Amino acid sequence: MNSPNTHQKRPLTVQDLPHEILMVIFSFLDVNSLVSAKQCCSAWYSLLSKDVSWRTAFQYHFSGDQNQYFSPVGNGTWRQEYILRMALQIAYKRGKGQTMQYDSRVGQMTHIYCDFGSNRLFTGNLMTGCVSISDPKTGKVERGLLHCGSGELSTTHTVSKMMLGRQLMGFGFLNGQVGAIIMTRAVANQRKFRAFSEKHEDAVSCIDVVRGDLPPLGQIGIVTGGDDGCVRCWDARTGVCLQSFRFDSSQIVSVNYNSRRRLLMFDVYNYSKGFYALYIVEGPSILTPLVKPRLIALRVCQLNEADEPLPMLCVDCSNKCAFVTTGAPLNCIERFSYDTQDELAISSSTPLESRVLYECQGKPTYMVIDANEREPKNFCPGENARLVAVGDDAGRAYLINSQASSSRRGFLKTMEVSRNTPVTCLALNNAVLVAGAGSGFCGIFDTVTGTLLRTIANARNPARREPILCISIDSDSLSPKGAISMGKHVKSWAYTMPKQLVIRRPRTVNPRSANIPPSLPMQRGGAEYSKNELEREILMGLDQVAQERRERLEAKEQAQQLLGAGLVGLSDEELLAYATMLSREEAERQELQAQEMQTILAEETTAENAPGNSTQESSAPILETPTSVTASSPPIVPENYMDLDEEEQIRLAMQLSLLDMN
Amino acid sequence: MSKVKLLSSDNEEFTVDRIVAEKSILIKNMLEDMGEMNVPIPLPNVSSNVLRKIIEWCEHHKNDLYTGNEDETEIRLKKSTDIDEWDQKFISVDQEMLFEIILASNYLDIKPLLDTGCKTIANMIRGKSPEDIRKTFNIPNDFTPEEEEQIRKENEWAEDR
Repeated sequence: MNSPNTHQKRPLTVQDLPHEILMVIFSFLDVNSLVSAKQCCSAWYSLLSKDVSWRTAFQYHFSGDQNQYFSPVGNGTWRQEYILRMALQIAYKRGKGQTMQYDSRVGQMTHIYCDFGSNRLFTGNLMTGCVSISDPKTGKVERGLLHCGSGELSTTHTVSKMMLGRQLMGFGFLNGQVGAIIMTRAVANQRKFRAFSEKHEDAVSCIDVVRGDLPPLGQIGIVTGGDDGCVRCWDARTGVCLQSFRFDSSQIVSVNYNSRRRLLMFDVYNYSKGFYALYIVEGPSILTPLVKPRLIALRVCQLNEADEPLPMLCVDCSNKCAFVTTGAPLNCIERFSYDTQDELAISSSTPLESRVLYECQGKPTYMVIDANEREPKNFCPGENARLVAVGDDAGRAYLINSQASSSRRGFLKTMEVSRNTPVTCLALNNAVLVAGAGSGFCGIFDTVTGTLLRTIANARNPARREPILCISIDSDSLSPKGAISMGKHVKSWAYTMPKQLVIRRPRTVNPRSANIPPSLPMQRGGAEYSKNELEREILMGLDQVAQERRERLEAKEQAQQLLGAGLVGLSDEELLAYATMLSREEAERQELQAQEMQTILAEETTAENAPGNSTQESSAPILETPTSVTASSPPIVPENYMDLDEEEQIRLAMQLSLLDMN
Repeated sequence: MSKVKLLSSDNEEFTVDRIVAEKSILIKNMLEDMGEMNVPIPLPNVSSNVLRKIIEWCEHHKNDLYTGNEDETEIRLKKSTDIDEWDQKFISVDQEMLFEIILASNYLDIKPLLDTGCKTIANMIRGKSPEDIRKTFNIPNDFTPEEEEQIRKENEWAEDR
C-alpha cells in the first residue's frame, strides 16, 4: 500500500489512506462535517454511504475486540447505532442537565418508580406504607400522600411487600392481605387504596405488578406469593383472585409475571421436604379460571440437611428463557430455556430443559432484565443481545446476554461498582446500566464498553453513607433520565442530548393518518398519541407499531358492534373485555343485576360526590364525536354509566366479573 | 536498559531503548515472541525520516502509562480538538509527513499516535464546506455536475441536524 518506491514518485495524499484509517478520521467528526465530507469526492461518498464502514467507526470507539454482543438503541444500521451511542455517551459524560435532590416527605424511601411520560415520580416507604407523588423535574411534591391502609387496618397489619408501577401499585401485608392503588387520571383524592376481599393465610412474601399500562379487565394485574404456600393472581381493578396455586407446607420465595408473554414464574421452598422448585405457567390458561393451568417445573433441587439453603433470590422471564439467581454456596445465575411451541412435550415431571450457569464472585443480590422486548430483526448491529444484569455482594455487576445459548462467552462485561460492598439495586436499558451500592455509590455504566460514564452519588463522608435503595430509569434508552433513592432523599437527573448529533429522519409517512380508517372517530389511543411515542415509532420502525394499532382498532370495532356505543369512556382493552364477558351471559340475568346495582350505586353517588364533576375525565375527547354518544346504550349496562366515577365503575366491573365466574 | 535496533526501509539503523520501542505494539509483540536479539528489526514500510519522527514521539511518551482498553475509550471520547500541546507541536508538519506518520503508526500499531494524527486531520475537515475540503487536501472533484446536484439534494434534509 505504501511502498517506498511509489512514495518517491508521487507525494502521498489523503486519498492514499486506507479506508480503515479514513473511518477513524471520520469518527472524530460531527454530523455536519460528515455531510460535507461526503460531498467531497466519489471515494469518500461511497465510503460514507456504506453502512459497513460505520461499523469500523463503531468498533473503534466502542468495542475494540470482536465482542459485538449488545442490544441496539437505533433501528438497525451501524450508522445510526454509532451516532446515537456517541450522542448518549456525550450526554451522560458531559451533558448538562438538571439534577434535583429533594425530600419527598415519606421518610426512608424503599421504593421509587418514575413515569417519565407524565413526569411523575412515585416514592414509597415500606414501613409506613405511604406513597408520595412528585415531579422529578422541579422537585415539587404533590400534596396528599397515598396511604395503603385505612382505619380498619391497624398497625399490626404492616406492609410486608410493595411494588410501584405506572398505573398500579400493589401492596402485600404481614397478615396476608393484598391491596392495590390504581392511578387514575381523576383527582388525587379518588386514588384510594382498596384491599382485596380474599387474602393469603400468612404474610405476603413476594409481589409483582404490571408496570406499564393497566391490563384489561379479567387479566392479571398483580401476582403475590405468600408464606402459606399460595401464589395468587389478581385482577387489580376488581380485586378478584383469578387464579391460585397451592403448595402444601411450602413458602413462595419469589414471583414474576411477564404480562406481554403471559408468563408466570415462581419459586417454591418446601420446608418439610427441604427442596426448592421453580415453576413456570404459560399461555392463556392463567387467565381463564376454568381451565386448570399446567405447571412446568423447571428446576427441582433437593437440599441436604448440612447444606446451606439455596435461596433463589430473583426470577425473571424473557423470551423463551428464564433466569434465576442462586445464593450461597453456588453463587451463580442459572438460565433455563424452554420452547413454548413444544408445550405438550413438557410434562410436569421433567424438570430442567436446559441450564447454563454463570458464576459470580459474590452472592448475587439483585437482578434486572432489560424491559425493552423487541423482536429480533433480520439485520441488527451487535447480534441483537438482550441484556440481563446481576449485582453481587462483592460489589460487582455483571452483564449477561440472555440470547446466548451457552455460557461459553461468559459475562459480557464485569463492572466494579463498589469495592466489597454489596450492589443494592440495578436498573437497565439498552444503553446504560445504573448500579447503586451499599456504600452510597451510584454510577451509570455503558452497556457496550462497560465503562463508568457518570457518578450520580458518592458519599465521601463514611458517617453519611447510606445505601442506594432503589433506582428507576427511563426504559426508552434514548432519554438519559432517571432517579435514585438515597434513603431520605431522591436524586433525579435529566441530561441533554447533544443537538448536532440527534438524528431527525425525514418523515415520509405520517403515522397518525397512515393506517386509521377515516370513518372511525379518534378515541383514546389516537388522541393521546404523544410526541414521545411518535419519535419512538419513527426510530423503532413504523411497521410494528402500525400493525399493533391496526389490531387494536379492529378489535375495538368488533367490541363496538357488540355493545353499541354505550361504553365510550372506556379504553379499547376494557371494551373488548366487556364484549367477551357480556356475550357469554344471559341478558335477562344481567339486566336484573345491573338494575339492582344501579339503584345501589345511585345512592352512593349522591352520598359521596356531587354529580356534576363525577364525569370521567377520559370521556372528554369522545364527546366531540356525537354519533357515538347518541347511539343507544345496551340494556345491560346502567344508563348513567358515564356519570359514574372511577370507583363505581370498578365496583360495577367487579360485580360483572364475579357474575361471569359464577 | 536493553537496546533495540530498528532498520528503516532505506536501511538506516536506529538504536533505541526497549521501553521506547515497545510503545509500538507490533515491535512489542515481536520482541516477546523472539526474545532478546541483536539483529536489527526490519521495518520495510517505514522510511528513515518518518521513523526518526516516530521515535521522537515515543521518547517523549515513553513514561505514559500503558492504558488498558477501557481507559482508552475514555480518552477517545474527549473532544477531538483536545490534542496535547506537545503533540500539537509535534504533529504540525506538512500534510505528506502527516499521512506518513499516520500510516506508519497504523503499521506499527501505536494507537495514541494514530489517534493524534487522525484527530489532526479531522480538525482540518471540521466545519468546512465540501469545496474547502477539496482545496485543503487537494482532492480532485470527480463528480459530474448532475451527480453533485443529486448528492446535494440527498443531503438537504440533513442540513438542520
